[in-house]
Amino acid sequence: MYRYVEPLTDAPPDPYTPPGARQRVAALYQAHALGLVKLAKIMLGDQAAAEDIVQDAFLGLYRKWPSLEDQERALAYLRASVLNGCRTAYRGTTRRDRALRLAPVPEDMVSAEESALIGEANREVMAALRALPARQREAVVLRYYLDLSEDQAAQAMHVSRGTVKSATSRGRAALARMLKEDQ
Amino acid sequence: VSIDDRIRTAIGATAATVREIPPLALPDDLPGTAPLPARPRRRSRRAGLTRPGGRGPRGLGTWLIPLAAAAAVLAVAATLAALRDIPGTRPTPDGSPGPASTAAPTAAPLPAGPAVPRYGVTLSVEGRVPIRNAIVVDARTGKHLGVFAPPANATFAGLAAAQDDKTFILDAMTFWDPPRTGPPSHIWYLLRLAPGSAHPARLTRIPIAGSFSAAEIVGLAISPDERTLAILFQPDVIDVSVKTPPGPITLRTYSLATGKALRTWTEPVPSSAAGTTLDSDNTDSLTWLADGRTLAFTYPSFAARQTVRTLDTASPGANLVADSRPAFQVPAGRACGSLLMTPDGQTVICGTSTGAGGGCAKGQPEFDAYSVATGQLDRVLYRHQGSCALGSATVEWAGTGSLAIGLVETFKSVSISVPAKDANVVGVVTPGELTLLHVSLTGDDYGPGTVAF
Repeated sequence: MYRYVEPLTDAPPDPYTPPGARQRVAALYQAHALGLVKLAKIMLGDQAAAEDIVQDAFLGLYRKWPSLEDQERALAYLRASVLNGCRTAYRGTTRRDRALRLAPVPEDMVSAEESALIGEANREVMAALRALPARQREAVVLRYYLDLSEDQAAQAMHVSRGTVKSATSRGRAALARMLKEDQ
Repeated sequence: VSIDDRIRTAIGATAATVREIPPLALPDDLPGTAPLPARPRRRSRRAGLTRPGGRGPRGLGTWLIPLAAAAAVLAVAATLAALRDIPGTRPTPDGSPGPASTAAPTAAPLPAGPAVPRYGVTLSVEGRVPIRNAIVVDARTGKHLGVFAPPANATFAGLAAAQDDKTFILDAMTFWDPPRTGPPSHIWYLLRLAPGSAHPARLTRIPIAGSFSAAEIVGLAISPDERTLAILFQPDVIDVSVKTPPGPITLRTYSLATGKALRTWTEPVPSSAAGTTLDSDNTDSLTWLADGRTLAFTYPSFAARQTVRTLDTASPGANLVADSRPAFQVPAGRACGSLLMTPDGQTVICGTSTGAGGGCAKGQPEFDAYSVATGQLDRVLYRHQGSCALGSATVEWAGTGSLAIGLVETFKSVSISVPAKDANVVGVVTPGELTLLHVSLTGDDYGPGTVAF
């Protein structure tokens, strides 16, 4: 069952980015970056971090462009990359940190304009959403916000369709419990 | 308003707050040789929300490896310089007891006196999949005695060490992929080290009785005589059914020889499982004290001011709360990102994190020693020096007195881009010193229960 393995290393860098990649990636940025920043902000609640994650996703796409097997699927790659970036950002926080996040966000952390735009009730929902386990949170956001199909969400999350289905269901139920609503 | 409507409305309102974003910044040079794009980065308004990991997003890590490696070398050098520059008895801003002396550089010999474990196991992320291998390391030389991959469809999720420094328990948790598989289960292994032999590290599966299906493990500890394993867990958290409420936090002891359950204590009212995730296995700081009969753990799990309770496993009773007693509570106004009670039960070692906003300027990550007898801060053992946007000190092992092994992570930026992590050092904490060990950690998320000595 076990194998003795040597520490792994990352693959060497892609050697070459062909002409045209910059324009193609820039066009994709123009078309999709805003939506992806929104997605990351929903996941993390922090626009600066969301912007960084999306920038990095596009940089990754640019570097990977020659080796992408299907460049028409770049958006799926970007979506998965953004989710992965959010996961990485989120994973470093502790269980207790996440629990404490259920507490209302201090007023001085949110601009008055943003506070007014979101509203207290919605902030409560978002705090609960961000307290969900990563997989449930991703499934809920992809299904409720992007209206992705189970297959599309599974592709973005790198999980099976069944996992998307169960994670969405469990995430929704957990939110209902946290928000003390009837399902 | 239905829950579905509430979710959609809240998500939509949050998305609507994003109206404009900065332009794309791509490097001009060829990949592999390009510098990082000189893109202005904004600081997060909620620092604690976006602590970056050690690795970059998929696709970016490859070409940045040389840069990251160089940055890591510089970061270690900078850390060492910072360690040397720590003022010896400078009082802390809040007037609390300061470090006793300056910190030591990497090459310094390990402290004399009470034994410091030589061998450790870390759960490191390898490659780009969320699978954690178990790496056995000689902390004095950095040599790997063995690297174990988890079984198929599973990852190592936690571990604990016995006091002999050569026995470890490992928890492998299966991935859940319904409907093909049931909810995640736990597979337990005993790791025994025999340095210098033909098989310096040997892993054996052990039959721990009972099901941990859908449970979240929050504490692991091996008794000083290595005969008993204590597991703190909450069943039905990783939901089998959306209708299943979380079960009660449960402490159970097992015979390591047979795997048979020995004693069980449960909380009278199940804690809310809101916010639980698949974290490291000792988030609740389970520790077996040197008397061989007392277990210490934090309870309740989600309290902002953690309370360490102690439970006499030799006394009758099965109520986790009524049959244990609060031994220590973190004083008001202070916080521990992680903590462990020392085996003598006299001290609680606490690792702190920078607060939200302000980074190191508003409070350096540090290791504190609290007196259990008085409940007060006894001394600041070690305080990181230098600037950081985020930082945390995690207690990974606590020994007699105030000896500890800790991990200090600092980040230059709260942004996610590589190389965000500034320092990631494991060292022996003694008053005023952090003596670096030869333990390199890859990946991130090294909470209590993912590094053991």
